[in-house]
Amino acid sequence: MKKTVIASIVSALIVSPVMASDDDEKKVRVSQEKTANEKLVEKIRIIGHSDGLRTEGGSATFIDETELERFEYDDINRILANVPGVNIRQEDGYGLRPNIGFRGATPERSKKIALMEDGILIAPAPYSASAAYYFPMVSRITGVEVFKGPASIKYGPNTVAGALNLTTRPIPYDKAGGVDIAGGADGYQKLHGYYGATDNKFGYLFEAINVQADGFKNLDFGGETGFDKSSYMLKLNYDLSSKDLEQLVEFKAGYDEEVSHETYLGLTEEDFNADSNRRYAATQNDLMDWTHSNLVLTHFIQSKDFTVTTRAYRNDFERSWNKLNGFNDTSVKLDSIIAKPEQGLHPEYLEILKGQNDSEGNNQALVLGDNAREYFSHGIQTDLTHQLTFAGVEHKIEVGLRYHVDEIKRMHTTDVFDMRSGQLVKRTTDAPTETDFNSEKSTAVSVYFQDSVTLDDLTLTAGIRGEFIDARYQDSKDANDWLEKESRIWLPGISAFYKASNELGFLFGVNKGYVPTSPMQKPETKAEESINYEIGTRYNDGETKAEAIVFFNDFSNLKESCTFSASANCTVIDEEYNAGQVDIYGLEATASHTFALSDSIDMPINAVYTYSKSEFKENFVSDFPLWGTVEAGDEVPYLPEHQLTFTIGLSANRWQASLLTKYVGEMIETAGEGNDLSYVGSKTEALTVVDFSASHQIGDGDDGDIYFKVDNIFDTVEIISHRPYGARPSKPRQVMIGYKISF
Amino acid sequence: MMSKVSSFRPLLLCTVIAGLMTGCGESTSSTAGDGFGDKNPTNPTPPTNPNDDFNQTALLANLADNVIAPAYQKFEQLSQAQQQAIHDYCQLENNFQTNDARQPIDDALATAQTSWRNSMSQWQHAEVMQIGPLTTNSATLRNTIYSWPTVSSCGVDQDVMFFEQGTVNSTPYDITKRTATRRGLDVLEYLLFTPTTEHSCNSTKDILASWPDKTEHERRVLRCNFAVEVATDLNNNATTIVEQWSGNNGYAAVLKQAGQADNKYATAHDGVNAISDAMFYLDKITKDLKLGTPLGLTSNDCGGVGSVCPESVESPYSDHSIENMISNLKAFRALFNGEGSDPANTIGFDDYLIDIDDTATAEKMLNDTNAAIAALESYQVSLAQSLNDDPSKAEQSHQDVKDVTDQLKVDFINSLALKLPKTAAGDND
Repeated sequence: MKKTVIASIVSALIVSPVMASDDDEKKVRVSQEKTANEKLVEKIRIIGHSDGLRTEGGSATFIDETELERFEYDDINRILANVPGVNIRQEDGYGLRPNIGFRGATPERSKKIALMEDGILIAPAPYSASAAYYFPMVSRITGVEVFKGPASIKYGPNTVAGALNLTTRPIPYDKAGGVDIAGGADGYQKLHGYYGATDNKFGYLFEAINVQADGFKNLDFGGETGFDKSSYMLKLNYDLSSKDLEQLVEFKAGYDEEVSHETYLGLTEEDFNADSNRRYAATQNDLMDWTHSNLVLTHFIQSKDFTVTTRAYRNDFERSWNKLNGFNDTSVKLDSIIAKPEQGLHPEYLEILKGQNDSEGNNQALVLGDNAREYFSHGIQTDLTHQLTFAGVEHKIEVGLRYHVDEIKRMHTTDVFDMRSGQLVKRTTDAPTETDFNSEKSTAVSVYFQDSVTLDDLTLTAGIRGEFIDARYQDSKDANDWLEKESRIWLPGISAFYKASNELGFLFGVNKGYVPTSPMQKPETKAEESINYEIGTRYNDGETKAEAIVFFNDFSNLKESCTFSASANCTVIDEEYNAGQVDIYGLEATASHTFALSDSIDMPINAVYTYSKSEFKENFVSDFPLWGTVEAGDEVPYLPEHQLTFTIGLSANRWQASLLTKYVGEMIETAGEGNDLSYVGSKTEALTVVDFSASHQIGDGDDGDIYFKVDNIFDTVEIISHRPYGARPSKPRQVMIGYKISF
Repeated sequence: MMSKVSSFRPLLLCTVIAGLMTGCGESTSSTAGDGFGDKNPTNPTPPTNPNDDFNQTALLANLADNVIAPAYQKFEQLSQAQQQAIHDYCQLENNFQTNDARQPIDDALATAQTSWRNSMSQWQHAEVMQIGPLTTNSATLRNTIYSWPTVSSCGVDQDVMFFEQGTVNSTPYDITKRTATRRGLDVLEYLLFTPTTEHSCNSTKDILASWPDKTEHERRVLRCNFAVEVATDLNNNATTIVEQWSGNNGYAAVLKQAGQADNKYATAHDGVNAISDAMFYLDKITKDLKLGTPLGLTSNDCGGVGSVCPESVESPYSDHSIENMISNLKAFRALFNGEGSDPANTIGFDDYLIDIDDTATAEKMLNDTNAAIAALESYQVSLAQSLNDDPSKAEQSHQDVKDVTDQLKVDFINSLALKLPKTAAGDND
């Protein structure tokens, strides 16, 4: 049904270019003045421009639509290859549930970064349960912005790492639309269309996209391993501008859905080496099924001196995540079976996972858990920017206020199955057993104040963020099992940029990082806090851009939570752990230059390098499966020492081709030692992947472009992680061809 | 210059505020309901110097040498006797001629069964003392001796034939390379006590294709031949435990030297905690699995929660479940009160509790343990039969054990500033 809907929209859009071209030649704007809508877009797109030497302190990276379209990535993990200081733990190969961290912050479910869509917090419950099981569909995103260090203090609550803002397609000034159709290996299909226009003061945009694939893994005894995702967005705006004030109201409604046959179970080393794309029979029922909706009402007003953007928002996310939890015999853990298949009773249980042996007795029955959850978040936020000159010095004052409420409701159940001749057979007719039924809710008021002053060649920025959080945990079955917490914290930051010349500048910054504890965590679990320092230099002469930043994050308490997705042997799911003091430091460097090979052919090159190092500063013993018995000096898991991305392209008027090579160094998977730990001493292999993309206009360009891309040309497949339960492969080679037209 | 300084006022103000806030800008407070934390118990902070008053090293020494070591040694002796008894029985079975009387064989089988019961009762002592060699490598050694609750009668039936054939997948049959469910006491129970000579596999197994064609006697011979192999392997493993526990490099020495340089346990208290962890067998296994599962407190072989299931009891062929639990409780008591092979040295956890002025917990735990033992000893029928007749008696036994483990999980742990084992934190109660 949904494919039919999207196909209808797409086919209608293919017809509309004729209408559009009949209607008129592209309108030439009478005035080059920006409309209120365009100013709003700039406001939402926080960095906003990339020409010339940026003089703001703090590390910020912007990937625009042109850059995004070059590789037509659907996976944020691949897009962020061009951003320094990003550490990622891949999981499913398609980037369905990304794990993104900045500057060594734990990447797990991107829970330590401030994740936003159009400047609005978009994780399902960013205060109560920040793990981003929902991630916006990247194929419809038109801009990606990354802020780290002091640049991120405007975007809380999580400030230890930074912020990631994804911007959606703006309502066009003219009539504009586009269609993108692609197909590829492993049943990959993409249908994408949008159309919008502004008629006098009223503007609108509708966008729909469906991406699906059969998956590259092969399930023992057959079954699905692919995914099917759709996303719809409607935007309406009305321009209320008067002579002195630019003013606009905009309404945005979005709906997303995903069904993916994903699993947390990987392979033993031996099976991975034999066939890395294999999936064991016991995962045949594993399924993620979610829906997400969001509404945003924006009011934007701007005069000569100030800008105020006010947004009211509501996000709802509902999911069913049915997956293999383990066996009825709780003494054997899935990760131990996979990690040490020869030990103890593991051979017996491994054969059942593979479907090679039937379950015998209650103990060998498989437990499948549906971690069904409902989330919501809503709030209102207003951001004011005021430019003033005081005693000859320019000030840019930014003030923000946000009232935010979010909640997660857990309705977890388990069901018991027997393995019978390679098929999972429900053991009883009983209803699933209810396990965790509880809710966590946070009500938060946050404020920030920031002043940037420019004095000759020096730009100084000082700001402070306040987070005031009232949180409540409630067990749904036990009225007496509840916890209420109040947290108040101020998070200052300061940065400076010195412009040595029109091309060269130096920056410095320091800010306080913070990640609140979730409402259910015991009061003695400390919030994650750090002091983040950065110092660097930036160069831009119009043709060559370069930036190098050294960062040092001094964590007074690194915090982790135990989830199925991180590992296995969690005594209590979502329990949080303290590691005390940790230092994470490194270097981020980028350089880009475009060579003109001829009058009509350019060769842009771009290099992004990240060096990261980490060390625990204390000896401690933790039940957290990624830590264990840690000694001072041990490294934080899943943080590669070296990462390098090199992109080279050829670009002409009617065609372009690009080659991207990404190297990610090996990563340790467990920090310390311990008999109970599954992956002591284990490392993911260093991985080098080369992606190619090319596009060519049809005719003079009015008939669209045809594009061709190959992800992972050399079909290099390595173990990207042994978490949650066993070896997981990187995505193998994927060839794709597509056609797109914009009008 | 003055004007430039004054122009920085907003920035300076902000910076000053920032500086001030860094130092004093954080506060948290909380209130909790009465039920909060029950499902997520907090481990107490260990005392700064747990060796202050009580000699924990002496406690470790007594438990390691006089309680645990004798338990392992006795099991080794009994497993050797069992090996001989099974060998004797099997010899008669092999020599049996059609017209011979079966009584001598049946008597020899009864002797072998008795020797199994003796070994099993002793092993159920050792079950509560799973420390060191019995826990390493995913408890491989423990599982090769006794893998319950993971058992596979169908697997045993197949191995009877693999052993007879002498090969598995074209490689010579070697029981030491077989998975744990084809070895140990649970396998011997099936071979010695199962009332039928039919195989137990529900699906077709190539190796058992000829089984239906064999006579009753041929099947008994095949099973007893394999039982001899299993009993020999078991005895070897029993010897391994004793070897790994004793001697200068044995685990007992590690435990007794807890707190010394380069020892696995940084403090004697950590060593004491390792024994405390083992004692939680009574909670997770005896209470939850041996009683809770057949009572239907969790899903079982008969269905979901609420299904009373005599088929899910431990040792179902030998009806030995009650004796197993009595042994568990007695072993727990021995660790608790330190009464082992040396009557002159009975330093135990009860002394530790008394030393820190928690005599009430010491006395209550000991009394409750004795009461639970007495109640189990009063059973006139097997646990399976009792569940069939009237589950309330087993429910009471579950409550009796729970009385002990409730104390263990709260007062015992808190008073002695011990940590809960990981598996006890997610409470099934």
